[in-house]
Amino acid sequence: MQKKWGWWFLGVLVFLPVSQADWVKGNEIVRLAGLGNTRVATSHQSGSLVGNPAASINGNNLSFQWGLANLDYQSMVPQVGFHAQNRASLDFLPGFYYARPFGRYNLHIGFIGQFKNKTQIGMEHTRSEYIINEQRFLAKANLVSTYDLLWQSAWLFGLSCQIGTSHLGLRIKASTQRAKAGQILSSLNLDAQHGSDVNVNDPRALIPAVIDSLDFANPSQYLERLDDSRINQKITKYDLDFGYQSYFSFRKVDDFCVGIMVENMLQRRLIQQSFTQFGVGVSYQPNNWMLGGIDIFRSAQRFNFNFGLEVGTSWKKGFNGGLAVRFGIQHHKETTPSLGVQIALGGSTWNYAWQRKTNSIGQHFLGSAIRF
Amino acid sequence: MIRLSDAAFERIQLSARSIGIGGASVALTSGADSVSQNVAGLAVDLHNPELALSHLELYGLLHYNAIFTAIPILLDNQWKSSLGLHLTSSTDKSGVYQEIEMGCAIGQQISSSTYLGFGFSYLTSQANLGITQIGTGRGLSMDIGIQHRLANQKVVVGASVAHLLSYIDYDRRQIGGAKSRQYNEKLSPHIRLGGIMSLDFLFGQLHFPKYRLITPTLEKTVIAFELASRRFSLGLESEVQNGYLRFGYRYNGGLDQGICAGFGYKFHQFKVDYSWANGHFGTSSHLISITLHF
Repeated sequence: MQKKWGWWFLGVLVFLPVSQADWVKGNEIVRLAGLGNTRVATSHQSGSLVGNPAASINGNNLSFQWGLANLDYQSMVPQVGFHAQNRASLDFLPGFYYARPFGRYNLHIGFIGQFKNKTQIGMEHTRSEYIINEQRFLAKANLVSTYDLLWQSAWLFGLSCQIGTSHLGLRIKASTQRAKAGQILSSLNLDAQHGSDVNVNDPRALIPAVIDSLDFANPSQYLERLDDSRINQKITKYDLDFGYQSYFSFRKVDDFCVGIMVENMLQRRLIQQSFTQFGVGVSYQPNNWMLGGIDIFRSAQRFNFNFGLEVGTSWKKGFNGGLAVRFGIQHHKETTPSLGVQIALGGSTWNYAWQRKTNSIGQHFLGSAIRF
Repeated sequence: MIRLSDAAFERIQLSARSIGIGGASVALTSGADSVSQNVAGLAVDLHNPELALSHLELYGLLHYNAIFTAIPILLDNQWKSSLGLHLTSSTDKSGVYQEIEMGCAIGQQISSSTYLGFGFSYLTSQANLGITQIGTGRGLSMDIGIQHRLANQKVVVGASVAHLLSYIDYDRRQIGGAKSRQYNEKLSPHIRLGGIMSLDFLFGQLHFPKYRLITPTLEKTVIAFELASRRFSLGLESEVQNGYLRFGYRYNGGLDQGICAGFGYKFHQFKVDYSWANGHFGTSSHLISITLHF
């Protein structure tokens, strides 16, 4: 299967150089995910929400994306007293932004979220009893859900300015982290009392009598829910990202870009510490259809590397269309490859990216952008 | 009575050029770096706006970020003047104590060879216990500095006082058995005195013979010294083509005593500087600065 994908990717690489037309880059977050998060010197004309805040923007761009990550579902061997136990995790990564230039200034505003959800669900054995003297039937079934949530979101506002062949940008982030961990005990408590005329030794009479005694018009009386939060914290802090990109001309005009980027400049304390990322990067675009970039980041006394390669084309024969494929490698504690693809139809672009993650299906992103 | 404090808002050197020469930069500094080193250097040799970014890992424990800007003010005046802006942040790895400092500075040439500067900063800090904020500090401080150039700029002397005037208001929240408390502190002024001298000037004064091969190098090499609060520093910077080599030594008997070294390189409108400082107890610090000229 992997070999097939490899041949397909190679085929696209060979096909794309046929056209030399310029093309729209689509949703920034999904594009950069496909490029292994190579972002310091990567030009992106459709927005600069997570990349270098200095990046220039063309036209009015409205975009949204949706990501899924760390999907994991596992049936566990039940502990004593449990009928079944399962473990599941799923992260949602939504976002949207609007970006446009004003003369030599570029403005972008957007929202990005990362909602990490982990849960473990266990169904206890049902306990039931029948009290003969009271003609009463009691049954209790507990569903125990242990959850561990970290919901991160940020509103971002960025402004960049062109100075000669350079761009300077600043982004303000209002980041919110909410951590919630605990246990929800959901119980079904059935309590039925029948009349004394029922023969308790005859199951054919007793069972219908018990069922008839239950009040199905008001079933909520039998349900109980107890949320016992161990952790419930919410913190909002402001932080700054700074970026700079400068273009140089080697083989053609502005084909080489050098960038500098500082993320989380104020290093504000959130639930999960956001360390400063100090990055430098270069990108080279020898032709309209090809771009390659590399970043080096220093963060938390570690060096991280990103590498990305993108080839793309567009055409106007028959219909306005475009196609791009991306490949990237991100080295941050572990090395993760990524792939991306983009289809453009008229003024809209559709992007998909996949980043491999150990122990899960990886991260899948789907994004859409329109330029008007 | 307001207490004096040495612990908070310490004026750490956040310029790779400065640390590379052992911190003896009070007379050497110019441009954007001056905002934190000696505000008088702001207007020195500044023809275009300059922006400097620095990232320091101090002893592998604390992380500092800094952004400095210097903008020349074009006045119909024979003397140069500049405006400086700065923003610095610091944190330990676990985010227990964090500081942010932001402000502005003015550098002004007051005679053909003398520069004077003033800086004003807003200071804020917070202490955290886990994810709970347990205390905050907010205040203001003022810096002052002077540089005087002699012998056709081959000798420069400088002095600066960081936190000459300061006032910090602390607010500690109630934690466990400890009551909440509000108190004020004044930061200890950080006084620095120093000088630099071009090596060709020094060798000329000592009547050393001139050699065709080494004289151009000596002209682009300076030695620097500095006396600061409880510290003596000595350094050397040599310019070779578009690059710089730096060495220094800090003597104070404390944690940051030891040798320092660094290098820099100019490329188009970029200047990249790196420095390494060896500490007294085997600790070391790394600093990278990137300066942009517009």
